[in-house]
Amino acid sequence: MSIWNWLLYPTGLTAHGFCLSWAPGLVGLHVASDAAIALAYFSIPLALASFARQRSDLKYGWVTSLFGAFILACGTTHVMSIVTLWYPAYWVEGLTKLLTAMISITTAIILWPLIPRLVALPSPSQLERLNGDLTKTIEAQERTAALLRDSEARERRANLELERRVSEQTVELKAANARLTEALSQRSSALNELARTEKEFRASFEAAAVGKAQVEPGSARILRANPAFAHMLGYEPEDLVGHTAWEFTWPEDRAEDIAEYSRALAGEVNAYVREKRYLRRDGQPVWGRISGAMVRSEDTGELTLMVAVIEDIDERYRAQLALQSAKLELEAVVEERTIALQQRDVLLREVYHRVKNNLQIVDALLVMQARKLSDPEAQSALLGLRRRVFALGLVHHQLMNSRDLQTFDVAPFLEELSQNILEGGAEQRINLAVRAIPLDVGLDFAIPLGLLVTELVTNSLKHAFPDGNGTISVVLERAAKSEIALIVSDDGRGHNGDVSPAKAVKPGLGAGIIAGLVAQLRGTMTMRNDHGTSTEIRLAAPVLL
Amino acid sequence: MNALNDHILVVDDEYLIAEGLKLQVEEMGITVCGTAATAAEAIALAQQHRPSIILMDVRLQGDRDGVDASLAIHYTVGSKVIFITGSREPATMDRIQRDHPAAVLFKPVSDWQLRNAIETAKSL
Repeated sequence: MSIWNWLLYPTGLTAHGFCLSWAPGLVGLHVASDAAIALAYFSIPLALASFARQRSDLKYGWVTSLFGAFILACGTTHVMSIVTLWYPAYWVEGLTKLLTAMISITTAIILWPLIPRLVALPSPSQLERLNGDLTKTIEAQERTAALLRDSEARERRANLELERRVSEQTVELKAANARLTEALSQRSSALNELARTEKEFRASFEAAAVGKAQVEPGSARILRANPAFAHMLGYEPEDLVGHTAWEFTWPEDRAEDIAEYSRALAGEVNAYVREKRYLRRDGQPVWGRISGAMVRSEDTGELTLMVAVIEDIDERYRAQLALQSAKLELEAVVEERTIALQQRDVLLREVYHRVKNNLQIVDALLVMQARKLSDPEAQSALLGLRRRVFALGLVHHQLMNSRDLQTFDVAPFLEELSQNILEGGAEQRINLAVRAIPLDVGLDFAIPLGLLVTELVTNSLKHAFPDGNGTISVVLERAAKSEIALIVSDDGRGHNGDVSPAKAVKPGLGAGIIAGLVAQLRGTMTMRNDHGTSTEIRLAAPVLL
Repeated sequence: MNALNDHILVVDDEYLIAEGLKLQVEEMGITVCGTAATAAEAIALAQQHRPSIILMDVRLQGDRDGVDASLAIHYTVGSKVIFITGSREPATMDRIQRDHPAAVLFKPVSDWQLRNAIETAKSL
């Protein structure tokens, strides 16, 4: 007999149903009740297991496992009760019950001491309250956290804003810095330029040959002076600085100079320009010409400086003065001379007047004498004398008519002279042709020339034209080598001077006069008889003094 | 104004010149009614003889000259005046020209000049 048979089919025992007589009601009742109990008992551990698995936080969780095992064992006993109805497995049933009993006792033993501990476990309400408190705490914490977050956010925003501003300001600062750098660099280059200009200016100021000075406008105090200006006054530049310009102005010129300077300051005149005397260190005056220009501030328009250029015009001025005085002297001399000349003119006119008057007297005497003579030859001689006197008078008349009372043009003189001789003759029909170059002559030349023409024309008139018809020509022209030629010619019958064919006894007065005057004028005379008579006298042209 | 005589009055303060001129005129066949040496004399003679022509020197003795005499004669008698002068001072010439002279002759005067002037004056 195997263990299996022993458990399930113990010998000799009958199925429990048998005891119940297999009463269907009864057997059924047992089966159903046991089955229901078993099922219930089996489901409870499942529920407990499920609960325990879901509530892993349960303290004493192992108690549920114990319960589970106890109830499972109880359930199994009920299953065995059903099984024993048909199979006499009472051993198994008993063993099952034993196991169940062991588990139950164990459970009971463990459970009792555990009760106070279980009681000590917080109840759900407690937990709920706790939970509520906790929730409140958490909420409070969350609010705090939110506030914190909020304030953090604000702080962050503030930080961002701050950063933005800082960044903006940084940009601005950078730009400003760049501008400043640029400005500094410009300023630096401007300063360099200024320094260069200043250097050039100083060079032109210091080295200038002309005097230069800078003056404080209001006080006229010298701020700067160059060597040329200082040396002009016998000083060094540093001697002048700080002194007013008036201290170096000649005392007599100061008042007027200051007045003019004030006008320039007031803007009444454009520039301050003066020719004035400066006071040298040695007390002597020196003439200078100052040209000052007012410098105004570009912003305020106020006078800030007067810059002046001073030329040394002492030499020029003195030369001018000397020139002026020389000119005045000269003018005085000229005036004196003019007066003298006028007096001389008056005297000369008076002399000429008297000469002419006397010649008129001589003429009158000749007329009176002629009246007393009966000899025609004698009368003719006196007429000849009257012609010569007239020639002298005509020369003086021309002189009196001339501008300088010393020279006159010979051409109109010869014309008038010849005409007068011709018309003074008998009632002949003689033509006269006078052709003379314009020539200024003086008394010394005109008188011999006039007398020569008188003699020569008279000769022609007397001897050339027995029938009373013909032409007499008087020519004065230029000949070679600054000589002039006087040619008196006629187209009558040839004659030999005043040697009359009828009375050729002795040479007449006329011939002698002609020869003598030609010699006096250092001339030469040639005479031709060819279709009339032509006499040419060559003379050196008169030299006027 | 009565008619003038065909005579000539010679006025010159130089006796010889006056005489010479007188002879020159007479040789032309013209009667000389007198010679005067001063302006007053000249005016008196002119008014007395009423000559048609007067030969007048400018410079005369006395405070009045030939131009003054001529002006007086011009208004009282109306004779033609031929001035005979030794000078040709511009001032004198101006005064002469204002007196409407028949002619102006300059000393010494030739026969031809004198004849010319007298003939011209007669024809005026």
